[in-house]
Amino acid sequence: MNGAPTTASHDEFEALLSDHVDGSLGADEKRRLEEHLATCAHCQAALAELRETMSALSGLNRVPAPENFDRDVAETIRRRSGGRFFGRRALGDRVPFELLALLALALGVALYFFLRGSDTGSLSPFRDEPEAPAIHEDAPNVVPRP
Amino acid sequence: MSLRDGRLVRRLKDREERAFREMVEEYGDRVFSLTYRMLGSREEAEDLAQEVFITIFKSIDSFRGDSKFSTWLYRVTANHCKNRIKYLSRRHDRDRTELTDQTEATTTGGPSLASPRPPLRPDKQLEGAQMEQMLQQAIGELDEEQRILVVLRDVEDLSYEEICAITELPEGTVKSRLHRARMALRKKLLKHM
Repeated sequence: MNGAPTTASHDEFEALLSDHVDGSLGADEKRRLEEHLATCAHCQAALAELRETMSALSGLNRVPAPENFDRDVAETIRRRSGGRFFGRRALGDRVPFELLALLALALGVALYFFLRGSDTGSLSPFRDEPEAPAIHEDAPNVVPRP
Repeated sequence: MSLRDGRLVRRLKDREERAFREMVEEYGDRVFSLTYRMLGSREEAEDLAQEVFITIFKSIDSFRGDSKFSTWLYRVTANHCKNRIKYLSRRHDRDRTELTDQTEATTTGGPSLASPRPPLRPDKQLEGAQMEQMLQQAIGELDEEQRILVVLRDVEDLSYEEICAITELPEGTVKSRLHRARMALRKKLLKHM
């Protein structure tokens, strides 16, 4: 046995190359791979090619969207929906009906109690009549003589 | 989800056209770039990117904010891309079969329609636009599952965490598939060069 790496061990080490380039290998695996790389021209070449490939990929620039892309998309939406897609929705579309009904009920009850307790409200059942002024016997005759 | 994205999503749910335009302005390049790298054609990419935004707008009510808005957007884009690749592949196979049948019926010679790509020039050093074209072609030869991982990780430079959230795959699966994708890409590039 001459100690040369077998195909199986090449495969095993090649499987670690991606993580190695990503820097996500554990310390033990990294040490094992580096020891292997130091003596294996085949895996060294594979690593170099992988690095080259990834470097080329990262050099691909982001491709900007075409000019007026946002306008075109909005136009497509408008066309497909017959112009009904955009626009603020009514309150009832956004808030559940049950919540609106509950709020309306609470408002009605609050209004009832407010009017009932108010001096000027029309819902007070026993509104106090204003007291008539007291007439004292010794008071001067305030009724003018005819 | 950031406060800014939260506000944007609320306004999108109100179907505010202005919010929609802001979303396209903010994410349009990212979505278009991803669709272009996945499909390799500007026309197809533009058409698909439009579909992505229309889908986002139509289904915004189903977005609960469990993930980042951009993650959700990338997920929708990735799914659209994979579906379109499958569709184009089926259509390409069908067209090729039809063309081959027609050719066999009408001609006896001429260039093979089964290999429409121009011959590569291995004797020349490929640079710049040529290199990009070659890379794009090599990416296009990967299957859609490998393609999305290579584009998200090595072109868009997203973290493994984000990629796992987008693809809904465990990290181990993402890493092993990505490794196979990179090795396949390496072999294709070597073959082309």
